[in-house]
Amino acid sequence: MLKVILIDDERLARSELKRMLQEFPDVEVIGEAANANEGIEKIESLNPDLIFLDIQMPGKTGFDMLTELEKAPHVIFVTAYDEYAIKAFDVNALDYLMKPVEPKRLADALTKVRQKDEEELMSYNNRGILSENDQVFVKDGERCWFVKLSEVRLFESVGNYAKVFFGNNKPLILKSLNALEERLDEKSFFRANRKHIINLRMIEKIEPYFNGGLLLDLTGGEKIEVSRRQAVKFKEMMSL
Amino acid sequence: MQKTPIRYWICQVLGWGGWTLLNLSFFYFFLQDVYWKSGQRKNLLFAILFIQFCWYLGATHILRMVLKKIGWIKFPTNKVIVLFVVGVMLTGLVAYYGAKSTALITGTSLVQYEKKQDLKTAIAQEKTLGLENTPYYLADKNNPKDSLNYSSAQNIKKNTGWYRDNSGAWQYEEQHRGRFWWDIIFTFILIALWLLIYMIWHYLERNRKDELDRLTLEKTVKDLELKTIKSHINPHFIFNSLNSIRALVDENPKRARTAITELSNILRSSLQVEKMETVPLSKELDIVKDYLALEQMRFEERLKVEMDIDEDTLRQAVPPMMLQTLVENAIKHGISKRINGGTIRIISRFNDKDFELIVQNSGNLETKSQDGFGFKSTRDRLKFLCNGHAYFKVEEIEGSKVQSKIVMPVEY
Repeated sequence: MLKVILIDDERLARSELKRMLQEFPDVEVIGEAANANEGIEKIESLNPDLIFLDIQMPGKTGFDMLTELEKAPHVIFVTAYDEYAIKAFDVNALDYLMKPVEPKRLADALTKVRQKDEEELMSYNNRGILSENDQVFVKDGERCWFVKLSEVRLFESVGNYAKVFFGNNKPLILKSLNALEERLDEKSFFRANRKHIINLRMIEKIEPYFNGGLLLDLTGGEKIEVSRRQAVKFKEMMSL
Repeated sequence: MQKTPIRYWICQVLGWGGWTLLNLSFFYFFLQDVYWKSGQRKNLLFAILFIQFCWYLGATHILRMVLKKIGWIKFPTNKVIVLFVVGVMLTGLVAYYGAKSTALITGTSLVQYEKKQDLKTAIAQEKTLGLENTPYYLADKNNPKDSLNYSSAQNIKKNTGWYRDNSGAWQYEEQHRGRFWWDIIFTFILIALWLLIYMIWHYLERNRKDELDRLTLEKTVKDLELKTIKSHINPHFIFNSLNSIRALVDENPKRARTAITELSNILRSSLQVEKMETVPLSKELDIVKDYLALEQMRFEERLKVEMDIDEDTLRQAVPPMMLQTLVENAIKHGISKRINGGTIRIISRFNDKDFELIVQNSGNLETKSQDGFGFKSTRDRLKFLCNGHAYFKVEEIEGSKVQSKIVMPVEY
């Protein structure tokens, strides 16, 4: 069963989509929201498998809403013709539907979600801790991504923001490193020092460093120093 | 330039061919005695003219290749002048010495032939004067006894260029020194003429192309502007309306039917915009009412509409789709951005001699939206229609409202 939330500022648009989703017995609409703030509330309280999301909404856009979520659910964007949004979708290979939605395309999009979901439901874990397979939504100016945590090499603290290193990109997200550390799975992510959290699977080389610290080479070429205190912890973990 | 090598080659061959023919006819008409009576001279003349043709054509072609390669057309004038002089000199020297040495090597040099002929003449003259086998060439200029011999030697030298040195060997000395300079300067003039024609041609060609480019660009811009003004109805709006209508088909079929009529009205009138310069305000208001009805269907209770229309203004002529554009912007930048929506208020009235059309919406003015296409095209259209007598302003007014105001003459 796919638990779905619809987020769109137009009541008629929501009701039309709801009516269309009635055709799919394995889809259950568990909530609706008319703007981004309501959307965040509903997502956090109802924990849906999938959201249908409009881009242009009063107050905050759909993209802005996603960046505020700790962990992004599956998203299918739904929008009326909008050149800029379509460009964003195509560049970032996001799932999107155009209003008025074509039933066939809706069915295809749902099939895609179900396939993805099966892979990821296997590793479904209790809420609170983000697993490797969880994705976060990252926006950097015009560009945006859904990033799986397993693809992230490094979080670097920049004031109240954190820089996320993945692939060739390093956009900023509005999250403090401490908040991130609490939510990240410590089996995969390690706080190397005050400024960095690294993905343990992305370590290429380990070298001893000054003062009993360590120097880690990451796959992306970044060199991260592990403070002395954390180095002890690191060695303990690794020896297990 | 790239596309016309055929034309270039035709010009080259015709130009230098024409020059060769001119040369030939000069020899035919003025020096026929010398060059046509003797078969040998005639053959040599043809040969040398052909060699010259080849060298001139080749040298100027190389000049053209070099010019094209360095992209001379973009150079500043003073650089072009230097290029012109250097080009003429180098090409001239190449053509002149090229032709000359080719003639020498192939034994077709007319000069060489003349020299040989002159030597024969010199020997013949010597014979006629009965001086053969005498050391007349040793004659001392200052010795009165030798004066006859001396003047004979001088005469032979003057006539033929040939003279015997002290050992009795024949020597040659060019008697017409100026001829070399003549030839080379003449070559320079020819090449300069060629280059002048070449450069002027390309300057003209480029000017014509620039002009053409400019015209095409202007036309494209105009077309584009017209098209964008024409299709003022935002596709976003059309698809959103259709989506709402689809939802209404089940929920409220009657409203769905009216909505389809309203949408058709808007689409129809947006297609007719191009045909009319102005429409009566009443007609424009009909469209705006349909438009607002559709937006109210979408935004429901979030959009409130107030109309304050002076009956007398209904016949005022206004540019089509202009009020529509303002209302659309008011919704896009005002109402749709506010969670609780707001009010759109349309005011139409006369004020002294002017007609005022005002659209107000709840919200705050975003500075960047002022430069948007809607505002710019509204301003441009007004300027165009009323010859600068109209006025358009967008500003934030009291009570968190944005107001767009058009003031135009009652009659224009």
